[in-house]
Amino acid sequence: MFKYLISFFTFLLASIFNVKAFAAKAVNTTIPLHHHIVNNSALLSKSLFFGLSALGGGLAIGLGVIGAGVGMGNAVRGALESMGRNPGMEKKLIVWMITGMAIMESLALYALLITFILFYANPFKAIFIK
Amino acid sequence: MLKSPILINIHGIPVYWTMTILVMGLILFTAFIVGRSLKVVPGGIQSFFELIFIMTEYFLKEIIGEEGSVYLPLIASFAVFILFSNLIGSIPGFTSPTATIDTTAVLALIVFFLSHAVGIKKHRARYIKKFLGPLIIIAPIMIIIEVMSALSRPFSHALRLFANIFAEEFMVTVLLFLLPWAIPAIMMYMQVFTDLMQAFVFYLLSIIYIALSLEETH
Repeated sequence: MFKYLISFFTFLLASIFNVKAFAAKAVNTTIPLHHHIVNNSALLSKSLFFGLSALGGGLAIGLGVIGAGVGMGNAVRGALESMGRNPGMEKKLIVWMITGMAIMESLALYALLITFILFYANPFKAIFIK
Repeated sequence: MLKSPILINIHGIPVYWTMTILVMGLILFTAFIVGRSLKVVPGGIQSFFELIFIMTEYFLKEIIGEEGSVYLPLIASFAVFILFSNLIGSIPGFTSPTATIDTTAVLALIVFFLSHAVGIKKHRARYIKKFLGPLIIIAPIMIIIEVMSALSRPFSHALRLFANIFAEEFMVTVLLFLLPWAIPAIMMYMQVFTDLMQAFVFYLLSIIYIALSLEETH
């Protein structure tokens, strides 16, 4: 157990320092040396902003789909149970089930919309790109 | 953002204006052709229009009641317009006018203003009872919730249609970049199903919103 923890933390540290080293390399190659200290915080905030908005977009669609999936599963279960009890109602129930499922599906699409906004039309992008 | 190429693109005006005018012209042309030679035993395209007419009549009678037949022209033209403008996105070189929030927002706002105007016309001052909830003691809390839910209705109504149509167009475009063969065709088949479904959902919800403001308060 301890061995795994040690290796995990070494991996984490190595990755963090690697990222720092790569970032420093990128800064060194693109920007002259005397701008280095001034622009480092700007670069950090920029990369933090874009990384976090990508993370937020992924989480939005992922968590949004859970609720819609549970709701649609519930709806299908209810419809199938009542169809089993009363097969005569099958035609009417299927129409209403699909209509309800289309409404539930749009809940997941609201989450997809948030993802698109965060990825492509981020309202705070103008602050960070000048 | 990824976008599929558009066939007709007049410089200076947004592309969905052109598409809206195209859809309107298409509907007018089809209606003219069908209406010129009506038959007792309907052919293919005439029975399609008759289906929309009869379905609207049925739903209006079922959900609103006897007084619902006044809204038949509006609701049936909603159905035809939304269906045609959804389906035109499946043709390569065209895009759906409902894939922008502007078109759907206008349609949703028409339903919003119409439903409240009709409710006020029928119930007069008693219309405010709908916002007060069941008990008079909790009315100050209920009025906030009811007004918020009434205001968020056109928002979700517009966003539902827009998000569905936009997402399916985007999905087909993304799939075209990933796998150029065969798989996007299956998704385009699914797109036709979603188009029909979303047109039906928008149409049904607009009937339900009108019915909700017309029903008697207890």
